[in-house]
Amino acid sequence: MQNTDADSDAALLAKYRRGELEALEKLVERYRRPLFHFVLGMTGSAQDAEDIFQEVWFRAIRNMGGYRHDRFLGWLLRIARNHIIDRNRRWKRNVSLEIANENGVVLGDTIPGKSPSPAALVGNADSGRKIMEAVKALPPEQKEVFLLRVEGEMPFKEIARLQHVSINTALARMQYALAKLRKELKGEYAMVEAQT
Amino acid sequence: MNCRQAERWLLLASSGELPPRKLAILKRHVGQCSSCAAFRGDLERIAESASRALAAEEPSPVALSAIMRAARNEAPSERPQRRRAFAQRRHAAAGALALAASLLVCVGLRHILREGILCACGSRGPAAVSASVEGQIPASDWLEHFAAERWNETAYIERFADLSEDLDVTLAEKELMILEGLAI
Repeated sequence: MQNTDADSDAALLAKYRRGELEALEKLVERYRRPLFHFVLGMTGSAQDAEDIFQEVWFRAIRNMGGYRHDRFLGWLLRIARNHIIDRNRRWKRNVSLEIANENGVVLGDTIPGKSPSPAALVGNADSGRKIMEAVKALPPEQKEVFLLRVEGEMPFKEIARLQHVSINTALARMQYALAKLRKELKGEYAMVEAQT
Repeated sequence: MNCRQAERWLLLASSGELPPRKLAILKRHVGQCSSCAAFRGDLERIAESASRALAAEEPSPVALSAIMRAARNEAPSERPQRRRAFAQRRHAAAGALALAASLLVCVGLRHILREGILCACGSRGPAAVSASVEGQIPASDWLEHFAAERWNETAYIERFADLSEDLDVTLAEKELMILEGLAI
């Protein structure tokens, strides 16, 4: 995201630290969509997404003094991801999906998510809804890479750091995700191409 | 280059992480490989469709208001107050130190002139020196009286000199540290 110096994230943060509330308002406005879309994509529930979205900002505001990162959006996404993981840990306490095999692929990558299969979901709904349902059906780690990249515009290096994996694993997760989405949406794109 | 490698490079190219040299190799490969060209097309379409699908989704105004309320309560209202309080303490400390130093110098010089004895100065020292000067305490008595305090004052001055060597600490901060008992 390109901004002038006076309007850069760093400048707005400095202004907010000096007590200018409008500066934070601009940051919220700037990043509300990518952050909300990432959270919504990860949770699949508008109500949960709203709660997490608020909590992320509350935490960010409380810890603004300690902010030292290069990308503000990256920092927000990191907080969001950690919050979602904490929240999910309260629900699942049995099998860890994050233990990688010798190829760096975790168990979570090899099994489908909790939602119905993409094939079942890609039915009569409109194309936007179809793709989001297909994304929601991805395994958590693949969905996370996809959303961080597409919605958060996060570089793969940063995604890899965030997930504590190598860049090759992050790329492989994106490849798996895209392979599934391409398969599920093939008919959809063929139709679009025929129309154009 | 095989197609799996090319797909990874296409992903890295989409995020601007592929070096120019590899980008040139990739372009050559995609130009000759229909499978990789299709992958690139689908990658763009999928990303665009997902962004479009989510574009209508927004956090509610209630959530945004709650965030701004938290921002108002948390940072901007308290920080200037804290900064002001700290600045006031620093100014007060610097003022007190300057006053004490002036007093010590005046009393010390007065005593040197009167008695011809070089002595250190201290918080209770000036009172003793003044009393001596006024003839209330004989010179022999106040020397004994003052000797008990002299070590502390010397340590104070030495400590201050040590701190002065530290370039990371400003003079006002040193003064404040000493006055608050952090340094000694």
